[in-house]
Amino acid sequence: MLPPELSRSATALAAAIRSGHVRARDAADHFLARIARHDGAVHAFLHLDPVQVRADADAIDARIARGDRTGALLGVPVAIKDNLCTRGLPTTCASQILVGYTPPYDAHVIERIKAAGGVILGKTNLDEFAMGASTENSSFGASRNPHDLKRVPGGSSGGSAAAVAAGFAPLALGSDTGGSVRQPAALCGIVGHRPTYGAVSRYGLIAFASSLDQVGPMALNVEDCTLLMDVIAGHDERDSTSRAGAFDGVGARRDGALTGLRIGVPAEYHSDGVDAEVRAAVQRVEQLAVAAGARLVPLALPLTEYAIPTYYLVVTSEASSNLARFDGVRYGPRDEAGDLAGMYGATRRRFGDEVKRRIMLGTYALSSGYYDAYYKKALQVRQRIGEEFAKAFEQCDLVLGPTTPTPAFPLGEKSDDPVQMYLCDVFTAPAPLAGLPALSIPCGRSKSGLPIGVQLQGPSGADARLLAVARALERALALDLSPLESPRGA
Amino acid sequence: MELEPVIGLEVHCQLATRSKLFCRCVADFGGTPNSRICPVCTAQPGALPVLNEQALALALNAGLALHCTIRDQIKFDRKNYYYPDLPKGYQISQFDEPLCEWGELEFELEKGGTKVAKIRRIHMEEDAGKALHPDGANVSLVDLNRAGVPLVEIVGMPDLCSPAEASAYLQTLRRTLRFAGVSECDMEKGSLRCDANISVRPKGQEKLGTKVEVKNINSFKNVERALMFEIARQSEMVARGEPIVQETRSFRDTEGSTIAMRKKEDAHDYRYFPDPDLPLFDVGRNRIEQARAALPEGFVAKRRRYQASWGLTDYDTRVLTEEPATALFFESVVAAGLSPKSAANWIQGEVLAFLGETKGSTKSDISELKITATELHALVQMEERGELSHQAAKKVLRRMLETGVDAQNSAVALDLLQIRDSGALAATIDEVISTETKVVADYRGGKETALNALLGRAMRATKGKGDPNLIRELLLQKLGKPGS
Amino acid sequence: MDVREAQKIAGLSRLSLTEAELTRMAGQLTAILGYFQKLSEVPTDGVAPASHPADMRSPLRPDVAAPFVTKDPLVQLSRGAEGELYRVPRVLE
Ligand SMILES: [Mg+2]
Ligand SMILES: [Zn+2]
Repeated sequence: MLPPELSRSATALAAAIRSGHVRARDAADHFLARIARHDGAVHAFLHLDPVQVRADADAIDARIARGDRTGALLGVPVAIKDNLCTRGLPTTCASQILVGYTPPYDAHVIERIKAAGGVILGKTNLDEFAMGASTENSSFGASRNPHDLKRVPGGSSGGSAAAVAAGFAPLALGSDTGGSVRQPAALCGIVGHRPTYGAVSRYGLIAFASSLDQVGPMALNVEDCTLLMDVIAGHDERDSTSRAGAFDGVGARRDGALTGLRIGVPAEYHSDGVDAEVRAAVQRVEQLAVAAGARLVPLALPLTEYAIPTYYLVVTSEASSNLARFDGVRYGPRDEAGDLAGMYGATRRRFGDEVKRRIMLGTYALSSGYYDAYYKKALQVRQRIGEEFAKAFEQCDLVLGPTTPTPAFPLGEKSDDPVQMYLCDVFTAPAPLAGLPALSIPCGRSKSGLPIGVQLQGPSGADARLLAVARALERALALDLSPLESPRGA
Repeated sequence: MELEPVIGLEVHCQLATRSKLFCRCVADFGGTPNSRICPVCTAQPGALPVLNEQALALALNAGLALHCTIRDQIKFDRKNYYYPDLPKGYQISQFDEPLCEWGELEFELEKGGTKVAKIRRIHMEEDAGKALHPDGANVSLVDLNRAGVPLVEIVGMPDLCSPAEASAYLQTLRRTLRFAGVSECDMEKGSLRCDANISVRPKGQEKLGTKVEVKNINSFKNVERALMFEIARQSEMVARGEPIVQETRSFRDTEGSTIAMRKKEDAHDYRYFPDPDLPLFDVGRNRIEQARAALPEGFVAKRRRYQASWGLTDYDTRVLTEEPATALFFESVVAAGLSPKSAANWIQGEVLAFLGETKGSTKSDISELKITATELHALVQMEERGELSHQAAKKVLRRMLETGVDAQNSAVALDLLQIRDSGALAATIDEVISTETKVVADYRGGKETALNALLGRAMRATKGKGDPNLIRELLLQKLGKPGS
Repeated sequence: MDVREAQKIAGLSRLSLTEAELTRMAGQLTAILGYFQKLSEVPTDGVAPASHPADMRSPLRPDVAAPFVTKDPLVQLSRGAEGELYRVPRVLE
């Protein structure tokens, strides 16, 4: 077992391994043991190869023994959302259509983590193809919220969020298209950062909606989140949407000064649709910030309520095309059924209901006669949402509000009502439409002990500022950010 | 009722790049099946496209060579359809904002004069793979080596009025693209493919008839065959009062006919939309103007220049500008120092004839020559210096073309260097004078032409290697002026 | 969206749905699309469609060929690998 100060800080763990106080192998064993003990209840992982994990950790220890101590993540295990390609390790997107698929290459972010000395711990559960907000759309069974096993961990990066919250991994990667890093982070009581679009390469991230998808770090605290962000961010010539110099790792580590900070508070984020406990928790953050010298700037973001339909039209359109490649011809399972059309149809029956629904929706929105009314209209509103944000950021440095309207909801509560599930993204979908960075940090708990998250959104490229401010707020909030001893409420 | 055909051609041509359009796989023709593929062009999950700069440059050259308006900002769109040779389930192409629009191509008419046909648009796109259909088996086999190879699609306006015009247009288009370095345009290798849109209408009628698209035209010769068949077929239908169906037909080489292709039920709903993996590209006025300035000289300009500056005949200039490599070789021989007229004669007379014979086709690939421009120049200089007779020089060049050995060594090997040693020639001349007493007497009697006969004898005696000028000089020395 | 339309969209998407699935899908999509109608409240005359976050430009890649190196040929990932080729049910021309 690792001492508590190392199991709750990836930064401290990396330092301890680098200095030789702890072996990478010991760290791996610690997390593998916790997974073995508790993941039966949480179901955070889809693929785990303890033998390989131990071998990788041993290799790091051998490196250190040779005197090579380079790498920001030296010996630190990282859990990976299963929509990121890992060479030699199954990658399924939690879909029956990729059962048995092992990619022939590593995603850019995986290369970076390996180069930084990180140990790939395993692949975590998600809503199939990242389409969902609860992991209930996983075709391998839902993950559970470690704070209340009867509730969802959020999604789509629910497996990664649950793994960090349950102490299965000190760090995890998720992906965020419309909130899939921030929403589960909020529901599981951890930190989740959605980088500026283009700050992290998408090469090897299995596309859901290409113009919004971003890989993002998840961790117990802001410092660890920054540590992982600094490793994965940076230019990649294999991704045409990758931007050079989009992230300032040094700036992110500076404690953000709250004094003089202009915090935008949109009226729309305090509507009746938001749970009272969530509202109270967010207001407390506002008060703490003001007490530390920040100024609240009342804002109007009237297009907020149009973000959901805009978002769903854009993502389903892109997804309908992105998922065309899953046809059984070149990889993945193939279900023969007579002729070619039969084979396509039978193979693609493997998609789950939500994926099929979104493919249909997107195909419809792009089809002749409907393109202008749906897809093009959505792109125009998207443009206006971007302009609305740009205007807001002339008046403030960042926008603060709830990450989600409610804390974690019970499994099954929304799974039969797509529109209700889509509304989970009401506060997280706007930023991706504009390519903006946003993060969620824990800011309190409901009376029943469920975590509540607060979201910070910034202008394009302001990732470092967001992380620095989040760090100051985290200190002001002074919450206990240790992983759970064991999952609750079985 | 007299009918007239209206024809427009759609040409796909492969850009002459080293790598594919969006990935770094080799883009050349050939390779064992599926040996030139990667995660990007096999559409592995998570793989992403990045545009090849040279493909853009070559597409730009195509637009400039065809006098198009060029967009300084472009986007790529996805054309969605399912086919086993299309790995991503969509083709990355350009839909409503092509790189180039509204160009033109001037070509020569059989009856004389020229015609200008309008180019509607040129856009960039990726090729699909190749599906093979083995006889008798109920399977198809897919090779993705071609998947992702860069193409431009050049859409002509329906400005062509006969199969002969279509053929002339296509030949001229091909030569234009080859001179601009855009593409090899080799139909056999599939680097040029041509689809034809054709309709018929009563002469004088403004409104176009229903058009039919003919695909799978696999050679230049077949463009005319396919069109002639289609004109006849459609004309007969009109004569019988049958409506013409808008459809896609496939050309059948063996029969010289076309047949209706099976309709793809969703062929008309490609759901084009901007590729979210590829934000806008700034082509930039700078890039366009630099490309314009650096555009290789076209064959029309070359012909004009060869005639105006170098005084070559129309025929010569045509032969020399048939292929870019020929023009390049010709110009480098001139640059090496040979006079344009002499260079033109040698290249046309000897070099192209040699290639024609050995390659057994008219498609002489001068770029495969074993000699350089400098070596050809060196050979001609030997003749000029009198070291080789003209006939000998031709033989030496042949040898050089066959072996790649330089002029001096080829001449030695063939033992064709002229004897220019007066001592060595004196004995031969003495012998000729002593044996040809009659001719010598004629000469001395005042018959001037008898000298040529003596010269001929002497040349024969040296097996053609004696320097004729020197022999003449020596004869004159020995015999004096005629009649003396 | 009625069942016939759902059938057409399913065909375009290469999704084979049973009659019951089509009926259910048509109902759900109608509800979702109804909710999306909300967008018509937003004036967008003359607004440029944003297919990407603002000001994003694609880079160009030098024309360098570099073969993808892998231990096992990519074709072997296919359930239809036949030697060097991908086998599929016969495509009708
Ligand atoms: Mg095309
Ligand atoms: Zn490739």
